[in-house]
Amino acid sequence: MTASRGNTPPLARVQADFIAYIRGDDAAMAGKTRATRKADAETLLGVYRNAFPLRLIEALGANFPRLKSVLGDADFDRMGRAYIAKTPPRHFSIRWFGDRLPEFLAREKPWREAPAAAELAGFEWALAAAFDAADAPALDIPAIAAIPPQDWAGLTFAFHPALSIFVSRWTVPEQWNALGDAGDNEVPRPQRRESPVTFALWREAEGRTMFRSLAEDEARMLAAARDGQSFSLLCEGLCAHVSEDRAGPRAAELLRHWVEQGWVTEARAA
Amino acid sequence: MQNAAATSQRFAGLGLGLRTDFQAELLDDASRPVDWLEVLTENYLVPGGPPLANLERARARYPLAMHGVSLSIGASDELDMDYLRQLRDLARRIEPEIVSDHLCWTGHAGINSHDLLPVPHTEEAVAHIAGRVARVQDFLGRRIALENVSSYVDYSFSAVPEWEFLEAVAERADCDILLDVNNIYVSSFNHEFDPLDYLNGVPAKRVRQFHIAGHRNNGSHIVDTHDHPVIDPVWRLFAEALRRIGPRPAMIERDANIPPLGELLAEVGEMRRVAARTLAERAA
Repeated sequence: MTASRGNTPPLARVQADFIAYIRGDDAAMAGKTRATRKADAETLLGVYRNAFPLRLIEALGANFPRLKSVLGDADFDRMGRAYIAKTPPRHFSIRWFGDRLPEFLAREKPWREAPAAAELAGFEWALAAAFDAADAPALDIPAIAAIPPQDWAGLTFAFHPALSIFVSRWTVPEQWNALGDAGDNEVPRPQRRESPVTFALWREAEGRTMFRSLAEDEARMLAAARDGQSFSLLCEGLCAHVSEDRAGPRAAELLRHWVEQGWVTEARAA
Repeated sequence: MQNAAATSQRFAGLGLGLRTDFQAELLDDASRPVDWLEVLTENYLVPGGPPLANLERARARYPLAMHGVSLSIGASDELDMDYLRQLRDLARRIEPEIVSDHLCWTGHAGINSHDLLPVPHTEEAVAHIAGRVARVQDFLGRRIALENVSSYVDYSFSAVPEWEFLEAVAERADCDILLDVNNIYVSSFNHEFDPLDYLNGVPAKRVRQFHIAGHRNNGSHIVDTHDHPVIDPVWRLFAEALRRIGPRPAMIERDANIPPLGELLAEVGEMRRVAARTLAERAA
């Protein structure tokens, strides 16, 4: 290869300028690229500058489809451009580009004035995380049934990586469902709840992502179990919700339910 | 490490880029209508779930090529070792016939454009990229192929045409080439060069695979959108590439405006006809 001509800027300089250009600095690439007989340099550079937000906004649309349908294409595009400006992509995979969108919507005007949008973004991000979370073999009912009775009190549990907890302050999961069924029909705006409701999100063995709300005692027991508390402590914790003689059977009932849904990957004797 | 000529028996014939739109239909098709599949590496660099399960299904039925977009071999930033580790682990798990990425850069100072940006054709870039390719091939324990990208800008200080740059990188780095015939066509239109000059300048022995795709012509320039059928001039250029370079695994890429699978398979059929005719003429 022949030697470069004089006035060759260092590679790092060119790349810094190119990125500055696609992020909006009009002058950054002046004189560095050629026009052709058919197109001026600005038009050709513009292909990259135009593609940059569009590609990222498309990726956001894939991870936040119902936020997009609530905001509408124009507002979603506006929001996407503001998010890109504030939070340019840094991960190698575009899959993770939306990781800070819920926080962005909660913090930035005008979106923070409609807090249900931030919750919807957080909910969709959590669903996406459940979709491609790590795989793990789940315990089945016979495996639980085979645990010797003397081991039960000290038993602790491990949970599937796709299982997560989502605390909802607005009727966003209900809105998410309604949006899926609505077609082109208007969906009622989410309402603020009187008190937060805990949802569990998970992935079925066949790969479908699921969610359901948890009763207060179940939410509390699940949080304690995920913290590594033993089965006897889980039963004790339930006494705040049910009478002492009902605590054991209720704990067993909830555990059975979790196992049936594929949430539990391990039951360890003390 | 094996060289380009020692192409595996499994990696031959005509393939298709696997996309979620039609993956279930294609993987369920017992007639195996293509010879191999190319998968987009980053789609599978996730912890688990259906993407990886589908990849295993594809792997059980077809030889696979792994094609990435995040290597950013031309960047002045440090190599992303987190990416390389994940790439290496996936390649070990999948054992693809080829691992490829692009002769481009994707970001700078930690900001990722998620685009395949052109590298200036300078001596500095050749030396820089050759060194990085060597490190990547050492780390992965296997050769990689670099693909020529479609480009829309031509740096005023580029010292040589793209084909000379591609050859210089591949020779000095000792890596393979994934030759995208559509990208040659697109760039020749955008930068007003003769695509046959490009084909004549490519070191044939390093070419391990062909890509073919459609694009969008805006009149003053062409954008490599992969959202249209392959056009006739690109089929003709594919034939010219086969004439000069010889048979290599070749495939269709379609990334947007994806038609029913039957239409894509019809394009693969067209590719089969062009290849059969051209290679018969070449042998005669």
